[in-house]
Parts: sequence; structure tokens; C-alpha cells
Amino acid sequence: MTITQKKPEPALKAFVPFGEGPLGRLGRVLRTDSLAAVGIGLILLMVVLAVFGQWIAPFPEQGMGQTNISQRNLAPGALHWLGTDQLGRDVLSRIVMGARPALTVSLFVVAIAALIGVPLGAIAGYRGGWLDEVLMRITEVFQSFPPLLLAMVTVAVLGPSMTNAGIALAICWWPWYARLVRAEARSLRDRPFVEAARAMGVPTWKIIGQHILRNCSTPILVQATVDVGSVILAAGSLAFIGLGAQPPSPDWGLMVAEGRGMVLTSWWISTFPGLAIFLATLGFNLLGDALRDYFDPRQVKR
Amino acid sequence: MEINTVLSRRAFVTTAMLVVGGVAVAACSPGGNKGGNGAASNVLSVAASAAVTTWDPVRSFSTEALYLGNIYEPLIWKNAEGAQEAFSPGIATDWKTSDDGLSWTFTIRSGATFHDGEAVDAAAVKASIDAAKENGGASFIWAPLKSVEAPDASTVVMHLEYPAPMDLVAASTYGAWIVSPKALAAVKADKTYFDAGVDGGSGPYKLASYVPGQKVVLESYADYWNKEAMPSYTTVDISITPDAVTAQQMLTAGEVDFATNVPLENAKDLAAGGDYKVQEYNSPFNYLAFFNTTKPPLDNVKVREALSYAMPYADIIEIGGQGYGTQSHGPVPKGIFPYADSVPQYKQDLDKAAALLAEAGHPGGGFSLNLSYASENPAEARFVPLIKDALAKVGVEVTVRAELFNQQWESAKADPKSAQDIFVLYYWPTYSDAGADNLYSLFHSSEKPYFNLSYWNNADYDALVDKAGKLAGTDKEAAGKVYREAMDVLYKEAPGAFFYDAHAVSVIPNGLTFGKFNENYPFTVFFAPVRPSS
Repeated sequence: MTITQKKPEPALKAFVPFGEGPLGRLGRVLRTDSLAAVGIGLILLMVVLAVFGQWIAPFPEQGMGQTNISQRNLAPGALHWLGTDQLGRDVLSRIVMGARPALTVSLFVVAIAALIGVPLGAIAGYRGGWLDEVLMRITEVFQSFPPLLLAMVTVAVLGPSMTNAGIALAICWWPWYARLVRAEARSLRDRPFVEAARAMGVPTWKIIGQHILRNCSTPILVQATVDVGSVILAAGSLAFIGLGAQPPSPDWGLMVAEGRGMVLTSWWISTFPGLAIFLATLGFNLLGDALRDYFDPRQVKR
Repeated sequence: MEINTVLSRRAFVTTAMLVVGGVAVAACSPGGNKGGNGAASNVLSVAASAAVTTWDPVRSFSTEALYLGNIYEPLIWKNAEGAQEAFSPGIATDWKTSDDGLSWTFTIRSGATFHDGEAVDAAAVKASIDAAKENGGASFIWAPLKSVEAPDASTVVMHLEYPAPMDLVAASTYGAWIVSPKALAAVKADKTYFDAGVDGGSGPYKLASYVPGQKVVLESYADYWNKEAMPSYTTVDISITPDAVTAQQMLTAGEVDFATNVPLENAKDLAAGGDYKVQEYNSPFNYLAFFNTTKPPLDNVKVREALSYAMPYADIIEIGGQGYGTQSHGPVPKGIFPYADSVPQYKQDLDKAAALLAEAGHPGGGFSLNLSYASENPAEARFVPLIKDALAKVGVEVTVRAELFNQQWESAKADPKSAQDIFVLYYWPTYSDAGADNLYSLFHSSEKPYFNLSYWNNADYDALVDKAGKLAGTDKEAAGKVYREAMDVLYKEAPGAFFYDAHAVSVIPNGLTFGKFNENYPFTVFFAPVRPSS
């Protein structure tokens, strides 16, 4: 929430939100918060690469793993902008082709985590009592392990692959949603409009769906956006230690690992994929911040 | 005897790769020390990759061999390839076998002592061998042994069930260390005796201190019997550093004098800088692939031949081994009995491969195969994409499955019909008899698959290997000949493809001199012969 606007604004501007529409608010967030614009730009770039990667990458087959060993370990140059790796594959192409799996896995993980965590959290928070106790103790069991460690153990059991890494990360991620939603649900369930609904005999599932979940969608959305970035980092970490994506797939974490031994001599093999992970994670974090500002007018300016 | 090789394999599949994938320096060949003056400041600091799974020399079957070879001695040492004699004396000064090959007599040296002051004698040897046979990590190497006797203080006689090369067994890098009777009694009473980091050896170094996962300190043993081989460095201060990149950084920053393994891909660059030299030796490690012979299309020998011709051997060595290796002649690694240059090799020839596929009824390929490899092995991860690309050129699509070795192996042993089509394996013999180990374990038929993951069943091959195994106890030369015939069958029937024998690569700082790497003790770095370069 850095204050970066160039022109001084009228003092009353802060009260305007009551009168502006969603698009206006989006425009204002983008205008006044240039970091949000950077975040959205990065995400858009990543989405474009993920969708159109095979037409953008200069060497799409190499991006998918085809080797070309006569051209190996070339420094960045005119033909290979970001150099080539140990098997002679174009690093830029591999980064471009890596956007799709990175995005797919992280969206998959966050979706699964939310699908499990949100309903459980809502039920626990709304119903309270023994059910709440049981569900929360279960989430605590999961949360008592560092998330990456739990994921490592899970992958070690399931076998290392991109899919299993996704499943393992989803298993580690859902408790955070459960707890987030539970806290919101608890504070909502005694509010007059919920009590009114209950008094009118609205069934529980409907109250949870219409009143509880709808009213905690903002924190879920913000959390999910930030988490997409975190999952890209976590999936990259698993691939780095050999428990995620496997060669020859173009995974950023795997690429960092492949070039790690030569980081002192052929620095480009590891550096650029590392940069890609950094920018993707940064983008989603900035977007998460911007979303919170967007949905919560009270937080826009301080 | 192949049964337990897996114990070691499980434990040290990672570090084993570091030895070859990275760098191992070992120096064996006791003797030749002229300047062992033992000044007080004589500390050699080392970054070593090897973890210690146990300090119990009897149970040891893993990476701690790096240290144990300095602390303990076997009855005899197997010499590195190229030495005039096959063996050097260790605790035994002399050894011979009876004419029928059913008994071996070892003469024990006098005047040697264990680090705890006990005398090295025949009774100690008998106790050590009995312990190793009973509950050693590599107890299976003693399978031929019926009983061992110590008729007097300097004589040990082994009685065998059937003739076997007990000289090789006695020189094994696992399960053959001679241990102080005091230590054996102590560990019998308390299984955790060795855990604190104590030893019961007679070698040139004793274990001075041990911090799990961090440090091993060795100190020279002043009363070591072999005054000619006294260590030059009185203290060896070892930081346990599993990560090769970290080890390289410690080395180049001057934090350590020597690193047992640095990333293989950096060896040449380090040498080019002028401060280090690269030494390359044969090792007992090799890479091969099994073809699943139980199901189409690989049940057809023509298809297997075609794939053997399609493999990019030179590229695999160049990329997988970073150039440090030679193409295999069958499953026996170069320098290990019964290796022979005369065993034919396939060379990559895509036209021939395509022709053979057409002959087999698969013109232009058109089928797909799945290949599994051990994901924790960096060399395999590097070269497997090359296999996929090469087979694609003859129209065979390969789906790659990366699995942790244990999972790869478990699913391969389950049901051959539903198992992988191609299994990439990194292998080495437990002791220096690749006939009894590699040739038998990898391709001899068995009721249930173990390491014979081609699931191949060839009566001629089985008969030849069985015959050679029996001959090896009495006539190694004749046994070698029969083993070679067996390897010719392997070439013709192509149940597997033999990629390369990896080299052990050492990056040696200019300031140090090491002995020769000994492929019979591939996990051990011998510190006694290390001295400053003059």
C-alpha cells in the first residue's frame, strides 16, 4: 500500500468509494497503487505464457525436453537469449513452457485445498461444539508440521511426480482455509441476520451457503491469490529436491536444481528459472494485496 | 550370495552416486612411506560425503566404509588393478588353499595389536569371522564357509561347503574386518556399544571423536604394525558434508584441504584453474538397462537387438558421466573379475536398428515402451532423456517414469507382466567378484525376480554361470573363460543394454599426494598414504 500517486488528490476523495462502481474502484486501485499494476502485469504475462507458450517459445520441442547436446552450456547470446542447459536445451523456451505446469499445479492445489478447507471450516465455525473441536484438532495435527516437510513425507510415500507433489501440497494446505473460514463463520453465526434466518427455519446448509460463505468470500479470495504464488514456490522447492516434477519436464524448480552444480560457471541455467519463480510469486502476492484493497474500501488509503 | 546386496544398495544409493557422480579419492597400497615424521601440526582437514549408519564393523554395510577402511584391516587386501600381485597381506601374512579347494589356511601376523591393546591373533580372527557370518551386514559373503578354526595363535583354517574364492571374500570391503575380541564381547552385551563412536580396529588410524552428522576425527595409531605405512597426517579432521556443491565451496575457499566429492561437471573447470588435478580410475560401478523379456514386443530378440543398436552410448557417457566413463563390455565393470575386453559391444547404428525392427514385424517402430529409473541418481536423470530421444528416432516412443530406487525396484519385482519395459539400473558388486555377483544376480534365472529384472530365463546362460561359479574356487582362469562364454550369450540375446562403466574421478589439490584409487574398496578414502607434495 505504498502511496505513489503523483497528483495531490482532494481531501474528500477518501470518502468517494460509497459512490463508485466496481470498475471505478478497480481503476482507482490500479491508478493509486502501482505495485498492484505490476502484480497484475506479471500475472497476465504468466497467463499468456501458459496459454500461448508453444507459439511464443523459440524452441518449443526443446522446451518440452528434446535434447540438443552439441549446443550445451552455451552462454546467453543472440540465438539463445537466456543460454542453453546441460542437455543443450534453450533456457528461455523451457521457462516459457514451464509457465503452464507451474500455473496448473498451483491452481489445482489451491482449488483442492479450498474445496476441502472451506466447507469444513464453515461447518466447524457455524455448528461449534464437539464437531468444531474434532475438526480443529485435526487441522492442528496437520498444522503442527512445517508444510513443506509434510509435503516431502507425503511425496516420499506416494512417489515423486508432479501430480503427487500437487496432491501432497493440497493435503498440507487445506487446514489453513479451514481455520480462516472457521474464524469468519464463528463471528458471523450470532449476527442478527443469521439468527433471523435461523428463526425463520432456513435449513442449516442454506444458511452456511448463503449467509456464512458469501460473507467470507473476500478473505478466501485474497488468501487463495497469495497462495497460488506460495504454491508455485513450494512446488518448485519439491522439484528442486527431486520430489516434484521429473526430467525432462520443464519445471522451474527442477531447472534450478539441474543447473545448481554449475552455478559458478554456467550461472544462467539456474538463475533465470529462479527469477521466474520469484516473479510469479511476487506477482500473486501483489495481486493478493491489491484484491484486498479492492474489496475492502476502508483499507485503500491510510 | 546376491540376496543381500540390496541392503547396501538401499542405504547408500545416494552416496554411492556421489562417489562416482561426484568424486572419490581413495588410496590404497600400503607401504612406501619415507617421510612419516608425525609433526604436531599434522592435520588434514577433509570434507567427506559419507554419513555413518553404524560404527559396528560387523554390521556395517553402507557409506561408513569411507572411514572404516582406515580404522580396520581385513585378513588380506585386494590390490588395485594393474598391481603385480593380486593381493597384499593384511592381518594375514600368508594364505593358501587345499587342492580340492575345500579348505583355506591363513597365517596370522604376530606383533600386531588392536587399538584397545588386545593382541591380533588367530582367536580374534575366528571370532570376527564367526560374528560376520552370524550377523554381519554382508553375512552372505561367508555362505560357502562351513566352519572356521584356530588351531594355534597364528593359524586360521576355513572349512568350506563347496569350493569358493575365499581370498576375494576375505578381502571384501564389507563383512570382513577383523575386530578386537574385547569390542565384540562388548557389543554382544550391549548392542549400542559402537554408537558413541568407538572402534575395535587395528588399522593405521583410530576413531578419536564423532559428532553424528557433523564430524569424524581420526588419529594415527602409534603402535600400528606396519611402520612403512605410518600415516603422514597424525590427525584427519573430517566434516561430514553430503552436498557436493557445498564441499566444492569449502575446498575452493580453503576451509578444507580436500573434498571427497565435488560436482562431476565441475572437475574439468577446477583442473583448468591450475590449483587441482583430476585423477580418473576404473570403478566397480556401471549403468545398464533391463529389457522386460516376458512381454511383447521385447520378448522378441530382434527387437531387443534393435534397441541395443539404437542406444546413444557415446552421448550417455558424455552427458551422464560427464565424459568420465567407458562403454561397458557386458555387465562386468572394467577392472573387476571376470571382465574381458573381448566381450562384444553394440554401437549406435540407427539404420541397423530400423532394419531389425522391420524384420521383427515392426517397420518404423510404432510401439511405445515405459522406462523407469531411480530419480535420486543425477547421472540417470541426465542421460535418460537421451534414450527417449534416440528411440524416438527409430519410431519407438518412450514414457519415462522417475521413481525413488526402492519404489522402482519394488514395482519391478512384483509382476513382470505388468512391470516396466525398460529398467535403468546403477549397479556394483558387493565384493570383487562380478561373476558371482553381477553375472549371477542380474541375469541368472530365479523363481522370483530379485535383481534379474529382465525376467530372462535362458538355460544355456544359467548352465554357464553355474559352471563358472563352481570353477572360481579352484581355477579362476578357467572360470573367467566360462564367464566370457556366458557374456557372449548376453550379447546375442540382448536381455539388457550395457551403457557404461563409470570412472572414479578425484579432484586432487596440487599440495597433496594420494595413493592409487582401489576399485575393490570403492567407498573408502585411504588417508594413511596421503602426504604433502614435495
